[in-house]
Amino acid sequence: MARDTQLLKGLLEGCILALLKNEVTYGYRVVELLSSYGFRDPQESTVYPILNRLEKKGLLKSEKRPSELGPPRKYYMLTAGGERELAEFRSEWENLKQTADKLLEV
Amino acid sequence: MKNMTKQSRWVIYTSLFVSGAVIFTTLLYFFSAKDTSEVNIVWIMIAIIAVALLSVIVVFVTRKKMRTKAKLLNEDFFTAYEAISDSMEGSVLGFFEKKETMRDILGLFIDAQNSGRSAEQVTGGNLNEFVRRVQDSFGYRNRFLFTLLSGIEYAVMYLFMVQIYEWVRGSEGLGFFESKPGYSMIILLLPIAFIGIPLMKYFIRKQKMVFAIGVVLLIFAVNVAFMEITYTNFMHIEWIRQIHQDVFSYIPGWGFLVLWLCILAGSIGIKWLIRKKSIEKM
Repeated sequence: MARDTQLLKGLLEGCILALLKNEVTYGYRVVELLSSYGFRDPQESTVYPILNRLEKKGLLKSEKRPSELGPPRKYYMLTAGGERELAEFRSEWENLKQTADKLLEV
Repeated sequence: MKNMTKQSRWVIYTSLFVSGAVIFTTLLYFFSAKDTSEVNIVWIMIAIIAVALLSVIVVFVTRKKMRTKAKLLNEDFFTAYEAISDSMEGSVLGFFEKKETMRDILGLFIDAQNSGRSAEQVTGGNLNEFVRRVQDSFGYRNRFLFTLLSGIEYAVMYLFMVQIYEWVRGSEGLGFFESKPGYSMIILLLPIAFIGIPLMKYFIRKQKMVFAIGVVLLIFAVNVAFMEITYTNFMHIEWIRQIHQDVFSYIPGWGFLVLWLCILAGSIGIKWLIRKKSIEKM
């Protein structure tokens, strides 16, 4: 649904930051984790540009680590800026959720 | 060639065609101009032919290398990987950004392949959209402005190349600043810099190689037609006569050399600033 997609786009960035706060990991694992939390069929083609954008903004940093499957993997982790951004996201999301909940109860 | 994909073979045949066309026109020019006083013409021709042949070898080796680098990918994923790589060539990303992205994508694809996913599930089936998103994530959001600034850079580089060519070709011992290419090259090179290359990149991004080559050939054809028609019919018009006959130096002194270099550096600097702002806003 188009509405789903729009909502997801806004949420995905914050959710990826939250995932990477708990676990330093690589791109494909982020996709798997999103899927395990119930995001419907997240695609690498959506997640990779977000990871790249967050890295360019200085909210994530990355390092190469060897992989048993092929070339070294890029592992992403939160920076101090990323931690602040995540805290802001949590607070904004909480407000939005409360407002939406109130509205939907009417 | 046997174990190459259709896309790779197509790219190699295209490079052979372009290289052949360059060599053919170079030889044509050589045989028509060999009696002139341009003493360095032989060396220039040899250099152009060598570059044309070398470019075919580079294309062939690059395609082979791509397959070797991505040897862990199955046919399905390699076809997508190759298409993304070609599409990236038409993007405004820099050399190292493309390299970094392709390395990341290779890792992602290997992981996805080992998890039993298909290339279509990973890319969403729309490779152009994927490349656009990657490009945006690097801060290249205002593509029109980036294209315009790139056009300025190409134009300045072409002016330098033509001035150098004219200087090397000259037989009268003229200095670099005294070499005078004139207007005729400008009306060929500016459309290539501002229209030809942006359109060519657009078609490469869309994986339409025939159109990509067609655009450049069309600009050359239009230029030849314009020059021929105006020379035969409109030489009485002042500005047409100037285009055909007037010569002047693009870089007549050190001041101009510095000016052109400043324009080049300015364009690169503006691009950097726009990207920085764009990344901050993302």
